[in-house]
Amino acid sequence: MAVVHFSTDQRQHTGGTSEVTIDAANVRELVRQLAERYPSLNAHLVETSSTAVAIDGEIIPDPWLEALTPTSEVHLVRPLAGG
Amino acid sequence: MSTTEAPASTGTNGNGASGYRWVGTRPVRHDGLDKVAGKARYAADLNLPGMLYGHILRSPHPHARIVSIDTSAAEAMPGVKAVVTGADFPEAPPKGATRNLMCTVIARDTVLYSGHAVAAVAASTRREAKAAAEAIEVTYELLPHVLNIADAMADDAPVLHDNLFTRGVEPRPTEPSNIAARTVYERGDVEQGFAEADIVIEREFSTQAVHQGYIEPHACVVDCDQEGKAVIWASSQGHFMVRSSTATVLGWDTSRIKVIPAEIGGGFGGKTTIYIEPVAALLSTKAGRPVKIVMSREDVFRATGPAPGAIIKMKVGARNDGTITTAKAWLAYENGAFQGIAAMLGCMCVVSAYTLDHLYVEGFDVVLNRPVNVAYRAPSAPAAAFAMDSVVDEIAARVGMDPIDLRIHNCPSQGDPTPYGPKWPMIGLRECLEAIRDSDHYQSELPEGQGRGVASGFWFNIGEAPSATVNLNENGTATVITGSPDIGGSRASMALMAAEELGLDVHLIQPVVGDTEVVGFTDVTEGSRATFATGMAVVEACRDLKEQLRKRAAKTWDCDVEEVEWVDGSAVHGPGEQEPLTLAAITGNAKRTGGPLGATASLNARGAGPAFSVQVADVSVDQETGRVTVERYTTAQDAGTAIHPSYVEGQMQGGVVQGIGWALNEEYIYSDDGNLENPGFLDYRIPVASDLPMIETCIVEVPNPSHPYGVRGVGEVGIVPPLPVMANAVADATGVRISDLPLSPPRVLEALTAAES
Amino acid sequence: MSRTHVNCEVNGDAVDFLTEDGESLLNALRDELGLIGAKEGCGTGDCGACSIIMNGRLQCSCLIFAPEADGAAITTCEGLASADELHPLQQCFLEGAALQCGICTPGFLVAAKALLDENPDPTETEVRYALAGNLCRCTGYDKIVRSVLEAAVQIRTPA
Ligand code: FES
Ligand code: FES
Repeated sequence: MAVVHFSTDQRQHTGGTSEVTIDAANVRELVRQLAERYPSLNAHLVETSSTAVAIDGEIIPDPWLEALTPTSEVHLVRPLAGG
Repeated sequence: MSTTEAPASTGTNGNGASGYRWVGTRPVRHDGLDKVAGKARYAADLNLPGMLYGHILRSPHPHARIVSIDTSAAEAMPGVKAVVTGADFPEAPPKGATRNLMCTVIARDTVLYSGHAVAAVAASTRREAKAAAEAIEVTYELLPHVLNIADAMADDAPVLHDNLFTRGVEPRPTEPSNIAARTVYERGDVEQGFAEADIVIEREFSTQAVHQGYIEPHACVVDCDQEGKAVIWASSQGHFMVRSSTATVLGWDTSRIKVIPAEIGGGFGGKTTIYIEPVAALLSTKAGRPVKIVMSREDVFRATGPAPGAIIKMKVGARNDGTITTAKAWLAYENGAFQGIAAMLGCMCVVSAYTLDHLYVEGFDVVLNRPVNVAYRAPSAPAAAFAMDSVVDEIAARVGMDPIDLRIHNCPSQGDPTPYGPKWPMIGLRECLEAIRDSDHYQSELPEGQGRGVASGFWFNIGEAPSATVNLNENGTATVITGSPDIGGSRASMALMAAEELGLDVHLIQPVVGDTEVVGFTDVTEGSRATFATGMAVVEACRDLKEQLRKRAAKTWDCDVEEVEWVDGSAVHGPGEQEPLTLAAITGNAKRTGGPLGATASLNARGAGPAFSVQVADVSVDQETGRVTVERYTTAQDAGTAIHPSYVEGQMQGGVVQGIGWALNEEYIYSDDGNLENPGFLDYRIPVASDLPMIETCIVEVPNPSHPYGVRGVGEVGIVPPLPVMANAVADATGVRISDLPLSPPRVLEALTAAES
Repeated sequence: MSRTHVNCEVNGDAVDFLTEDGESLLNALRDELGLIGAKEGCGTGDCGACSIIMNGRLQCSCLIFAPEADGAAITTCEGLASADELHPLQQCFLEGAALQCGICTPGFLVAAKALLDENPDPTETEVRYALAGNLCRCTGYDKIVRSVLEAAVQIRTPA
């Protein structure tokens, strides 16, 4: 279980919803459920390559199997580039 | 090789990691001797038997359709062994990152910037290659071009890509434009925030595109054989990236390519991508000979980098007690010829050094007829900080508060929300602010006639995937092989962490950078990640080895492994019935106890710690020429634990000076016809020794709990504050606030004159 | 293609090589003699990475035609150390962490040697101006300047 927070851009694909609670044990499961619930959000995430996930403030690139707890705060973000 | 004392550097600390034997010391780096002796091999230093020289022909136009390319004259010239054009490369997909990479390496039907690669020649000598490249006849149909953000965003602007529709605008536009994407971050209600404010300041800022300015031009040697295999010697920030990108551009399987990392002569982000390797590979394939391509400095300026210019509008509200109530920001960043994420990053960074209940940040990524952006140290953050921290400085003056106290008053800490959503982990901004406030420099009286400026800066830092292999040699020494190119002394850091783990003298450890066939996949050295992420892999491999060493000791003693402890580089028998076994004793006997010892670790590094820097400078301004002289400079940066303090200081100082260059002098100057007018170090002036004072450093060590030694990553954030620091110091010295960079003598003089009249 | 035969002394050794007329001394040193210490950062005399001492003067080898070296005495970075000891400048650069990527280092060492040969006791400002023709993008110059000052002390007062 986890609380997913949507950014302003993402809200355009969630019907304006800014957060949703998803019953998922890990990130892969969470992403799967989000894709079912908000089909156009998934396309948006793919288009923006938003494959990173911030869990409780820690940005993790590509974390399929990262475990989620009922209090996990999740943000779907784009992996960052640096110098 | 000796462990030296800290050099006489004022304000230096970096010894907070007490309790460590090796971490936090300053040994001479392992690759240092070759570098001072002139023996270190960079990519351009390699010559192979039968090697040809490649030369790339570049577009003289900023935007044009390639009607035809006639290579027949070039092919007939003396010494010419191979010629390639875009038609020799696989077709690019219609859009996306792959297309951008493929079409940056060589133009297909359209050139999108002056300097865009169009064709290439391999010949026996440099001069033959150049002459032949110039004999290639390209017929262009000129197209209208756009060179700056305002022109590119205009409704009637000539469009670079007819399949680019602005993302982030609903409904999605049906007409193509140069606005690639719109990004928005918001929280609370900015109007309420302004209503709560006693003062509101609204300003517009601009910064210019700059180049990373690494002293080593891009270079590679590629040797392709008759079986279709390629060996590439390249100067890059990531040889696995060179392998995968080259394979992508050529449509080859990665297993055909081996990349051997040469020493790299500076990158700063600019060598996180490729330009020349696939071209050299095709030339080499065609000619059946090794091919070397070395870019000229002019080509480096015209066709690589840059970091983007930006326009940023800020509106910030604050109460008389110094509380910043809200910020509204509009940012537009140049992307170059292809879409990037510069504005998105700018949006994430612009107000990150402040806690705000209400914010609205909107950013636009804009394509135009310039070379495509590449990362440059903390990409996008410097321009964003310039805007925000200039306004914050004005607020401090208006409410009559010390600018550092005001920043401390508004400082975020762990658990506060970031502007882009997630909560802050443990961060060291407050500690950096306090370090500067308490520094000798800030406590000193400002000399007559000078101005003082302060500012802060933020950057994310990045983890990603590293690999490391640690082998113990039969004589008790260790070899640490990682996949991270060493761009600033990271090999020494790897050796220090391995020394600490194994309890082995750091001088008995040889750190090397392995090629793509000897070490596991490792992401690019970027995002300040080498010491952080690759260091984690080194530590993990060493911990594995310590387990193995304990088991070998147990076998030697015929006891239970639980009875063996690893202490200071030796196996110690808990019950005390045996003499300790040193690492060398175990490795010397390794065959009898199960064979040589080695361990490998590969991982997806988690928990890169956000980095902050706070800086202060004193400047004087020549009223007659407008020249700004930096009189004194101090930087504080949260480094987590400083593994090798000298190189941490070096990263801090180097970043600061690059930022000073961006603030005071550096800029791309384009002519109206779209050509870069200053593609050389004479006219694109980076700071030299006589422009600068010593850069005093203050390493703040707030350990990153996600790293075994608390490393946070130090490479990037130092470049962020100097832009606002310089602007704030000049404003303090002259009473005139300039919001367009660079603060070059003509611009400063113009502003001073305008203020007088 | 016509090639010129050039005789000169490099780091104390008599050497000779063939070169094309328009070739730079920098390329000749690197390609014909295998002395890769001098680097090309710009090829236009603006970065100092190719610094050498020729007939006692600090020069950008990228601006000299190779045939001009005929009869000259040249010192490159490779010629600074003796068989068993680094030059104090090299030792101080190592210990003072005056290099990061190291591409500018040979040029700085040669330029600093030219300075200390002329002026064994320079001030910080003199060091900064003497090295103003050498670009370093990594270090911000701080540790380079400190290391040159330290080397000057060591050369003046041998242990
Ligand atoms: S290469 Fe000679 S000065 Fe730059
Ligand atoms: S150490 Fe890299 S340019 Fe000087």
